[in-house]
Amino acid sequence: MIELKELTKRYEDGVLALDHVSYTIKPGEIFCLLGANGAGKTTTVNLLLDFIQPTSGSGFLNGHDCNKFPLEAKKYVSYVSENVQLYGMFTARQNLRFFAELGGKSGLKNQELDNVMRSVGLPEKALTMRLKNYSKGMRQKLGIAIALIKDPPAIIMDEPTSGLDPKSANEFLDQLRKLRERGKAILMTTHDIFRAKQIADRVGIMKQGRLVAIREKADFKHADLEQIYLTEMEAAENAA
Amino acid sequence: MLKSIISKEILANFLSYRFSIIAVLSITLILVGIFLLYRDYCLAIENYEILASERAAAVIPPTPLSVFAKGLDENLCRAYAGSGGQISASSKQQSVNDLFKLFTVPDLLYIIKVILSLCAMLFAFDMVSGEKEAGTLRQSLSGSLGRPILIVGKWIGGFTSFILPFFIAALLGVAFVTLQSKVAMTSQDWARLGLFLLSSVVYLAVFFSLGLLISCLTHESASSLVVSLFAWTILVFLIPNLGNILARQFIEIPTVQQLELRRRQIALRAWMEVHRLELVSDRNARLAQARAEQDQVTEDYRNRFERLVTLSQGITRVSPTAAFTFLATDLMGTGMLEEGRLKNAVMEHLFASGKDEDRGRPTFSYSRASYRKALVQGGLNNLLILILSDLLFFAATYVAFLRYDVR
Repeated sequence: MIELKELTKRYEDGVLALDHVSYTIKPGEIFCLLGANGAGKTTTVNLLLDFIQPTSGSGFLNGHDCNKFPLEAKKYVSYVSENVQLYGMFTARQNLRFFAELGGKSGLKNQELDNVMRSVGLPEKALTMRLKNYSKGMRQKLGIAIALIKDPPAIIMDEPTSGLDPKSANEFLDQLRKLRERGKAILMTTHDIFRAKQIADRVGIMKQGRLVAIREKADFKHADLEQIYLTEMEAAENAA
Repeated sequence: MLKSIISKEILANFLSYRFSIIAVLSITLILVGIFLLYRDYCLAIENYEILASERAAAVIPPTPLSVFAKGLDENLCRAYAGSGGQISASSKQQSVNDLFKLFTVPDLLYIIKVILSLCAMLFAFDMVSGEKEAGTLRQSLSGSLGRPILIVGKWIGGFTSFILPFFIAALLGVAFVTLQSKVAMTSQDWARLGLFLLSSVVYLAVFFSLGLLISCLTHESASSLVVSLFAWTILVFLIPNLGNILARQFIEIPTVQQLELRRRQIALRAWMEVHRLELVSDRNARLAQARAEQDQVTEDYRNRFERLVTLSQGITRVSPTAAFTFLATDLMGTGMLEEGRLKNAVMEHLFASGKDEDRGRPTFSYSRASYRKALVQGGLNNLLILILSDLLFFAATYVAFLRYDVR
């Protein structure tokens, strides 16, 4: 479970990047965070991963405070970035083994590593290929494999479909559905309203650090999510 | 986790072009340097045998350790003679390899203090900033990996993979030298060599830690590289060379020519006055007074010179390169400590009887200071400076990494 309680971040230059944001992502739920550049999506991710300290409020991963007990909290989360960046000179297997060990899974056999990579749709020849020869889509899949092998209850994804071709993006979403079926709580930040509509159980709309709306699947399943997004943004602007 | 990070760092380095280039460079340089200096040592031995057979006033054999750290060995192994209470060394150099006069002697000490120190920084400069740029640092720290473990693992893994080719090359070089019939290494020599290699590791660790620190203080590998080169230039070249100039600002000392001129002036003045004196006893007294004045001038020069050397050493020791050079050459018996001891021994040998004549003087016998003596007489201080620099840079790296913005 991922939980934010009145999470606030004001940077040293005075910019309010996150303004008292609260929500909870339950197990087996995909929560998509929508917003323009500078809305506070990546700040949220950075706070949850303890890359920066909050000004006030707290974030929790599986009940553990991300900033007070970051190492304990991060045992329960995997992170997939916009560009999954791994070690280019290592093979996929070596990368997966290293990050599995960092996640506390040591002593895994090659067969186990290969099975996880196959399960995310990586072709056979890619298993022993060096990462520098991987396409972005393949790297994103390996990012999912890293998340899978650690098997945490929560997964945080920062613009994971950005720059992916439609086929790769669809394959990626298939993997997300599988993760949801396995009971993972998934926070995914994105610009891509189309993909958010396809995959999200709920969407949060952010503007200038504030969470201006949360919409349930029922609200946008048969509606135009883009229109909802624009309406909420306009309402937030008028309110400000 | 620490083991995983160390293994990853070693593997990543082994797979990198940088490692291959630095490994080939250091192995080639060390082996070629040792081979060239072994040949030079053989020539120095031959020269020594000639000088010894000519019954030169005072001459000592070259040490086989000069193959690794030549230091002042060429000066030490000159033939010394004495007259007028002063010693002079023959201008004839032991080394007949003129190339060494054109180019810096590529001994192991030089390779370590200049080239490998640069390689250490080139190994470490992007270990953090480069990983930040690549995005792998963010990926690594997104899990439950603590920053202290990561930075310690990086240091151990990175330094291990850097030092490995150095050790292989050094051991090959040592094996080559010791297998030669002209080299007879004593247990004392082995101890000196062991301590030299150990202090080399400590010295290289200073630059590795400094490179890692710079990497933790910058956010782009290009900036890290520029800052690293700047710091390396200051520590390796600027401070050691400026130390002497700076010391001369505090201690005024005449040149050797000025000293000689002053002595001549004293003699000339006394000579002119002596002619005006009638009594022989007065003349002798005036000449004795002149000699005493000359000795006083010489003594004053020596004292000033010693103070200058001490102050220069003190200033240049700010640079780990200088501290390492003093330590290594003193340990190997080719340093300033040895030069001072030798000159005192030669003075004792030539003038102890109060006469300058060669006749009846016993053969000059001299043994270089033991490594224990070298350590006690300043060596431990230099080693301590290196260890403290290591600890200081690593502690700063540790703190900087804990605060490092990985975004």
